[in-house]
Amino acid sequence: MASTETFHCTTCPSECLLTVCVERDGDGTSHAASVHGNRCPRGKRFAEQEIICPMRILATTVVVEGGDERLVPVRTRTPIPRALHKRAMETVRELRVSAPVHMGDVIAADLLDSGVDLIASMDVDLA
Amino acid sequence: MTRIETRDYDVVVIGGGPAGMGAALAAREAGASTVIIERNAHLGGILRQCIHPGFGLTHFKAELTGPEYAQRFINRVREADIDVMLGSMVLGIDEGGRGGTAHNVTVMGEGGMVRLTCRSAVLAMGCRERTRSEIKIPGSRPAGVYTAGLAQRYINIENLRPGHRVVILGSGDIGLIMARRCALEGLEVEGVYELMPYANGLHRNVKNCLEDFGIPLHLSTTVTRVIGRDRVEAVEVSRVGEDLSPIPGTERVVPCDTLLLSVGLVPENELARSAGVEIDPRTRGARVDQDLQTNVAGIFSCGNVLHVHDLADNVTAEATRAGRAAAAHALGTGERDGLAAPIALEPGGMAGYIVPARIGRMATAKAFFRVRRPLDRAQIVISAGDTVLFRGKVRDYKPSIMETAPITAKMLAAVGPGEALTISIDPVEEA
Repeated sequence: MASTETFHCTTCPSECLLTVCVERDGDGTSHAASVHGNRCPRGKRFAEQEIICPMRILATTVVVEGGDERLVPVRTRTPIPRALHKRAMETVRELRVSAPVHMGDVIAADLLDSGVDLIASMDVDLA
Repeated sequence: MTRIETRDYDVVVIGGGPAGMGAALAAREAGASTVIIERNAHLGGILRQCIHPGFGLTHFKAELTGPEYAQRFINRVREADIDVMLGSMVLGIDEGGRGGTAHNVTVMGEGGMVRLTCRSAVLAMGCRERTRSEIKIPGSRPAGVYTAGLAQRYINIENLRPGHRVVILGSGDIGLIMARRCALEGLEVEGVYELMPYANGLHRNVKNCLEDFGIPLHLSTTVTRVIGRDRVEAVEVSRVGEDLSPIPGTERVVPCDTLLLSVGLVPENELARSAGVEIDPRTRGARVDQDLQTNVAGIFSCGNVLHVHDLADNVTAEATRAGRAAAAHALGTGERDGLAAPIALEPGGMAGYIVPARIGRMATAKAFFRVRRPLDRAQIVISAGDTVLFRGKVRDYKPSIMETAPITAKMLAAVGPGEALTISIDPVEEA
């Protein structure tokens, strides 16, 4: 069975409108049979991944103790499955770190066994 | 009377966000002694609270969060021998410095009042959010009505929760990003309402912030009343007609305790005005030339205080040009082949504004503009008087995207005395 999906590529500011022919496989999974509208190869890769398993960077904050800011902004180093975000938020909300924190510091390694680290986005100095 | 401490610089940069840091780095690199004056306790400006990714794709060729984008610049400023005054507010700029040869910048800082003299000052104060009073929503005045950026500050910097059940008015990027942020933090987002018949933000934000979370976007709908005594209890929303006025009988009451407003940004130019800088009523930013210099010699403007940008990367590019030009002005190394009379640039057709307002040199330049509404088929037409100098290819235009027009020396040479160079976006009928 095949269907057509249209959505915008979010890889870069060009935001190409992608038209994707989606084929449903026998085992219930789907894949992109063809991708149109992309102006570069990244658009095709984005569409294919979007059909199999949408991946997003998770960005939130973590409470800092003893810092000159209350919170340190954090992100997953690379995108993780969108379906993991809700559970990841529950985990990250409980975390506490101590100042000083530096951009790139690992705040939580291998978040929810995703293979991806949660890292600090910014420095927070001692108060 | 106590003497006010005076310090001399080549370039004083007002504002320590992406525009200010970009301008200061460029000015310092060009050899100018440079200081940044920042109101907050840290450099970084609004990027510190823009914790989401999407920054740096052009400038750093990497997808960064706002704080990462800021931190990279903060680190460079630290290494660049640039003075930084934090917790400091500029009270005024006047032309009385060094016997009338420099600007005086009066600053209230942590140690009291200081006077800085400089040959060049760069305005990089950013913008402010439009508030409820500017869009005149009727109803009571309870707690729980915030601008989206204020709620963003509460959640991302102060660790405060603005409410529990949220309605967002305005589909600009900040509104969309706050819809996702609230949803991630466990607040219920009832929906986003947009006066216009189209979403105002970038596609990536409609997709990643609303569609990913199943948050509905109600187009051609606006908030017509705020209900609640001490705290917001509900808002009334109404459909609007083509003239954007509410249609009677379409009212619907939406229970909520929080209303976030994402209804536009306005450059923060009180300081510029009081320094005699001419303001463009379309952008509400300064009128500048190709080097970002205002009508006041030695005062430059860049970033969101000049015109509201959608990408920090574009702010950096503009700020770099401003910083370089400010240093050249201060050090006397600027271009000398200026035109006797600068050529005015005018927006035409669906172009809402043009930056720069004038060009004073016979050289290639870039003009920046936005369209007033989305156009499926339109083309850019550059003309001098009745003579068309350039026609672009037919394509779509969106108000949420800042566009660029190339201005060549040949175009400038074609402009007759008393004429302006018009950059117009003309809708094209389907053939």
